[in-house]
Amino acid sequence: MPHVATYVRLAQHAEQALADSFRTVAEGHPQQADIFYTCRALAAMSDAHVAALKPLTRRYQEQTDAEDLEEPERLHTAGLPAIRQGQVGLLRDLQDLHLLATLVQTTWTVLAQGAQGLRDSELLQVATDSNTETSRQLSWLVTRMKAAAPQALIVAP
Amino acid sequence: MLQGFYQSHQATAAAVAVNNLHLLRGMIGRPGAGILQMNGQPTAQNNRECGADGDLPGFRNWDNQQHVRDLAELWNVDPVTIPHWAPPTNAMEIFGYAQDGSIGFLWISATNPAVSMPESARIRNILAGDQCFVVVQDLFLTETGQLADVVLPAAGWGEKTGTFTNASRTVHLSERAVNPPGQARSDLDIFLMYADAMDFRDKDGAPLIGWRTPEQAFDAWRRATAGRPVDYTGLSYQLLRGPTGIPWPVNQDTPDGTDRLYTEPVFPTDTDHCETYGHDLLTGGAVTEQEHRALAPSGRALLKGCAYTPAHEQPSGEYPLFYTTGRTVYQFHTRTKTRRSRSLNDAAPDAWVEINPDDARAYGISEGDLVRVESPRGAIQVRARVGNVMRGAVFAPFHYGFDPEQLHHEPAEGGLSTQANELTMTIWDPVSKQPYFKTAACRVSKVRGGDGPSTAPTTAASAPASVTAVPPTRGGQPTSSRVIPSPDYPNDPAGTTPPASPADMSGRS
Repeated sequence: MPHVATYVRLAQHAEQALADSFRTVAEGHPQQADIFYTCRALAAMSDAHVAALKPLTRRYQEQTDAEDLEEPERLHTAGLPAIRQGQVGLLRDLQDLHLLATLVQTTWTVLAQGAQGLRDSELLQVATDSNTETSRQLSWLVTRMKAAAPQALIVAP
Repeated sequence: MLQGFYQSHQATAAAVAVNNLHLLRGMIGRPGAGILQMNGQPTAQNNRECGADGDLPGFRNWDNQQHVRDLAELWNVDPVTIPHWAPPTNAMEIFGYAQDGSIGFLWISATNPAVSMPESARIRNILAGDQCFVVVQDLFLTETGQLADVVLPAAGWGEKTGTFTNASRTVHLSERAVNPPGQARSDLDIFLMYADAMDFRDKDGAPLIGWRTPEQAFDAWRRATAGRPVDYTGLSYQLLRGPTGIPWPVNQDTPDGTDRLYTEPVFPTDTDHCETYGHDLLTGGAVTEQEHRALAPSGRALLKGCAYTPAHEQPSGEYPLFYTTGRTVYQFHTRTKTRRSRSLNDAAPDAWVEINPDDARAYGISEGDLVRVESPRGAIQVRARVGNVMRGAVFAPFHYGFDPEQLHHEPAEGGLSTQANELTMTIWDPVSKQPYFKTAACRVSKVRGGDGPSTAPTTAASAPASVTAVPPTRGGQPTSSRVIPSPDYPNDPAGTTPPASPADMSGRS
């Protein structure tokens, strides 16, 4: 089961990147009050997933031989380094967050499958609960992009 | 308890929690357990029904293609001309776009955002800036009107004809008693002049607006409500002339109106019928049609909830007190009318803040002292009422705008403003889009001692903690009135007349 450990770490990294990116977008668009506060709330959601996964990361690391922990190349994703300006920039930032959240969600899906194979109910619980909340993050991103799009594409200066 | 819920943190979630409790306890659809819409103004009900707050008329669902097609057919327009490709742009977003300059024209009718919207300095800048052309239509020259590019004088309620619907769904006809003064016109006439100037056409090239009088407009509205929960089809000006108002739905099945909704536990939740598929109460993320359909609501009520989150701004070392705003019974909204009613204005003539006796002692503040209240966004200078507000919190009534003599000026350095919204935050509920007026942090300091108690009313929530220190608020001169013969109200539960229609009785026994 060496690759479960790899995916546990991938989940951890991807959630952390998503949390940091939500914060980057929040801090970068403070004049958009709902973006600022909602992104911070959603960052906290991802932080909680990382925290819930922590004991499992430790457990799987201990159970896995050191040489098996070598991760394949280009496994991890980088979060958003900086925000873009203006209404169109905000739209594009939300798209990037959506991409990241999709990666997070499919990672939880994959991990839930592994957890079921291993009969690891603790991991299954974390993966399932987190997946549900990732859906909420994605749902907000789609709603907010739809709201922003007409104004941004047609009349934004 | 109205605005205390829906203008506070997690407003929709809190309101939904109240509804959940009523549903779980079966407290609905019988005497003592009626349903009233949570509205601030008596006619806010109309606004919501007819789509004046940005939604589609008749509680139609912008996300339901069939609802949009029905409306397009009624108006004889291409469905794509009815904006429904995104949720309605709410007032807070409109001001954001006006700030950015992507909305370049604002038409403000019968409201006073320069005083009533949060973070006043920001709102003033948007209204006064050159990036957005502002038209204000109102009865009086309001604080917002002073910042407008064009002001359109509008008629008051006694100067025009139209219907009002109150929070119990009861529709009333209000007929013109006197002509509007000077150049003032009714809102309907002003908007019709605009429609004529814009030459709006339907898809066959005929004028889009086919009605000219209030009654014709009402008949057009009745047609728009057919088959919707807010069914006005059975109403007419003739029926509304007396003896009393009539609660909707009024149609062939319920020609006398409907006193009570949900006497049977069937709710308008069917996916094809509902006004909205719902939202995530934390984020406002929209539930999709497929997700809603999968719940198979079909008239069942849905219980929703979300986890508690702390308010956006918490007291800190720098701003150690909670700041909350609200109303006093003697003034309405931004006092556009009530400041001109002598008895009401004399009862609550000037702004104040309420502070708890323990906090007052800690800050060296006595009843009537001039105090400065600051948040990260602004400051006010008003007199203190040492009152019954909870410890650690400061309450300010939001009614009091600028001194009319100083309307053109920003509050001078040192904070002459008395306007509670100088301090509030630009943030709104993710679902209802109501701004949050109830949660912020502030600090208070004494500016100078007062020459007497604050003029805050002693008869309302602003009563002083120590009754001996303050003279009581008294009413004005008695008003004159005459007794008119009481009509026989058909919907009065205490009345003697049996209901006219047996159909109306079904489901009540």
